[in-house]
Amino acid sequence: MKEKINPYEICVRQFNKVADKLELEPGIREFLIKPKRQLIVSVPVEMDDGSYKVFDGYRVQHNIARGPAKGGIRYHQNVTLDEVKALATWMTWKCAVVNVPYGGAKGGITCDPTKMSAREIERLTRRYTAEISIIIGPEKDIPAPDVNTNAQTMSWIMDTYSVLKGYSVPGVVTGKPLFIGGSLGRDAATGRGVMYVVREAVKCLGLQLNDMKVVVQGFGNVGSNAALLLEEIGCKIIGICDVYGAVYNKKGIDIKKAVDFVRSTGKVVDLPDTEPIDPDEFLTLECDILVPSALEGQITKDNADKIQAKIIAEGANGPTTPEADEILFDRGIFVIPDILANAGGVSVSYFEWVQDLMAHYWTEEEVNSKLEKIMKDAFKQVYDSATAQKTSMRDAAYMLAVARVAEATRIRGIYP
Amino acid sequence: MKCPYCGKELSKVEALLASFEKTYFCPYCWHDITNYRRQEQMSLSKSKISTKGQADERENKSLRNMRKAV
Repeated sequence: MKEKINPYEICVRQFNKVADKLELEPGIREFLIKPKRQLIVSVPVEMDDGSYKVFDGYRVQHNIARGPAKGGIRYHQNVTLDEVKALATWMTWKCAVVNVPYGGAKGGITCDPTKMSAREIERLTRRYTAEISIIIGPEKDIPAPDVNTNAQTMSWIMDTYSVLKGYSVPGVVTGKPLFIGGSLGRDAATGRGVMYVVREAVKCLGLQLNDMKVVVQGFGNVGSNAALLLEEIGCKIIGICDVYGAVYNKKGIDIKKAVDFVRSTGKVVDLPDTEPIDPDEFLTLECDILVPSALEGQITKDNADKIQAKIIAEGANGPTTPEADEILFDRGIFVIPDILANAGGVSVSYFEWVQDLMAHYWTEEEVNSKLEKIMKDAFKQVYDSATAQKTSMRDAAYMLAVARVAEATRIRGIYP
Repeated sequence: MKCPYCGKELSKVEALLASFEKTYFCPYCWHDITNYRRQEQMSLSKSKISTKGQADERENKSLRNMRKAV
């Protein structure tokens, strides 16, 4: 049975480890780990059958020392305040590690959107937006898509917020459709970022990308785009999975066909030219690169010693528990931590926000080349720091991120 | 690590940032320590370049001497 994991506990333990290494003073430590704001809202929704349901909604702003808060909104039946706090904290470190001028935030609603109609989800989104509108805004806190939310959800948020303000405010959310101020390249940005850091890692480790065997856990936006782009640069994707099951082909899966198949059937199960495998054995498949891009807490002390990959690129947030992380480090597996590996999304979100504020839009090539530079620079800084300090990539990334936020906090000082 | 300008001891956080940020200013005297770091790196590579430059100069001198001789 899988160990029960509280993401916020993981988050605090990760922070304390880094704070010790950075010799942070107790006051700064407390300031950095406690969220700045936690808003809990009740979200009443009229369902299609005329009944009322009240959902729990959250918006947590962890830190705004380096700029406005930034982070996604997720709709999931397992959303809790602790999970949202952890995700908001990780957003602070993620924005700091790629050096975009944002703090961290996260939001969520405890609901099962798979059991709701599109109209119900729209009403839920609009009411939630109204409830959190007191703390969001282009200069305050900019939401984005996350688990079970997408460009349509962002459009409803932008519209509701704009109605409340009395004018259009495209900069209030990112991940919007192009028609209303979205950015080219945003959709594939997280997966593209994963591809860039994997490519850099392969270079640094002196390996060859061609025919490297890749296993991708999760086939949503991040997993499918990472798989597509890794296939494009010469890797062979041998396994993919989603919540319904896992499929495998040791000769390689045609990812374009898999994307079309999932688009039409909604799941990877029964994908032609693949064989089904036990999802519990999926992460331990023999491969060179493992991309966990589903939910958190997937690599635990129970399966970490069985993982066969040389490189793990964490497309998801918090897929590895701290115990598992130590096992992986001892085994010499090169882990590209979540706050670096999946930072492509927030980087292009930043580009989208900049474009919205300037009312001037860039080409997809411009967006992708700026993203490549951000990801390569961040990878190099973390890799150089890890090498110099003989530490894991995760510790190096956290140290750099926490140091940047600590320095911003110290320089700004505490009011009054 | 100490700031090369004001001599103030940098904290672990500041030393880390001074080592890996693209640009970093000493938080006590606001001098650009990155420049100092770059100058340090440059002076290291310069010492190699100057050796090469001296070698080039020697080569040129011998060429001039050879021309004179011709």
